[in-house]
Amino acid sequence: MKKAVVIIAIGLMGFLGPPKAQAADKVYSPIVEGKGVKEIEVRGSYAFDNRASQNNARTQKYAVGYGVTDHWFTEMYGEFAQGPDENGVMSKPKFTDLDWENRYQLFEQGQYWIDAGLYLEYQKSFEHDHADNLEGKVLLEKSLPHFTHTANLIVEKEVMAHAKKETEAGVAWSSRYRLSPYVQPGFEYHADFGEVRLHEPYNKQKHQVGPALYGKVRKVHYELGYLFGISPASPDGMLKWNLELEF
Amino acid sequence: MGNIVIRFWILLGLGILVWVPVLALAAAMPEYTIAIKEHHFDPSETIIPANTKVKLVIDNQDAAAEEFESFELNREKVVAGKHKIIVFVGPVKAGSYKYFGDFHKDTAQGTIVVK
Repeated sequence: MKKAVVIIAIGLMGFLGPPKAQAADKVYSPIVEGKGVKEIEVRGSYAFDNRASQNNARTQKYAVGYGVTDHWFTEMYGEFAQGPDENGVMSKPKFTDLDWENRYQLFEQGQYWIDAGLYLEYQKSFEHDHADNLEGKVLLEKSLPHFTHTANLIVEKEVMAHAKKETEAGVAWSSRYRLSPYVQPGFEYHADFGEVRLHEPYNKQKHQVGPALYGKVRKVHYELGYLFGISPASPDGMLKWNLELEF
Repeated sequence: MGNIVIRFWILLGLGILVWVPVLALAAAMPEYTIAIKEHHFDPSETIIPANTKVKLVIDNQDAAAEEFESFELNREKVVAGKHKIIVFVGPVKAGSYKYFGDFHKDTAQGTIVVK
């Protein structure tokens, strides 16, 4: 319990200190933690950009999760965001949405050449004039003796009131070197191709890549990364972090 | 360009999901059972063949949950109380690979010996 309080406190410090807008999501493994596992998670992002309208945009997510079966893990997220307007004036932190996330591991880890899972999320928006969002992902992972490579193939669609955008697509990739349980250096790549029907040109798509550090200290899994925007629509830089306590 | 990339990834993903199970080896896989009793693994040492994928059945006979964890084997899975899970290991080279129960580290220790 003490650890849970510490994790939430760290998350709050991150939010109150220095970033919604371009939240790079985490790269999801298809491996589910197991039946009966309880989890508390805090994650966030902070964007740096020379455009006043994007600089200092920040998000913070708080979640509780539960392993319903050996193959199905469900989580509820509350998301808070704060960002600048067109003139760079920061808004107050606001509660933006509530997310129900589900991951399903298709078969046992190591059973086949590659591990695979499915992901389904419903995002209920609490912002004025914003649509809800339905997101699906195919989760793939290949474990080698010293490396783990994870890929997410993403499709999402605005739904319910205020829905305007058609189906959007994206990809996320993570590779890590399994140096020790505590420290695993690697990198991540996130791509948001925009609406599929529009065939958005590269300069309107969001592409981010950068170094990341992963590990586990006692029962806490951590991720820390810095993503460089490599397409004009992405923020110049983004710090992202994630802490998960399992018990 | 973006559309081609999207279609490539979607087709690759669907292809893998459909074909990996189909292409998996149908040969019988060696199977071993490791029980968890009073926060100990039983047996604490399991000998498996080198360069062969094996199936471990982790049978938690305790009421409390345990986590089967091995960094060397890249496995981490919780076994609920009075519950069984399946863990696939290998193929790995000859050697000793430690594993432990993360919820009761003091007592739950074991080794997979690969020969």
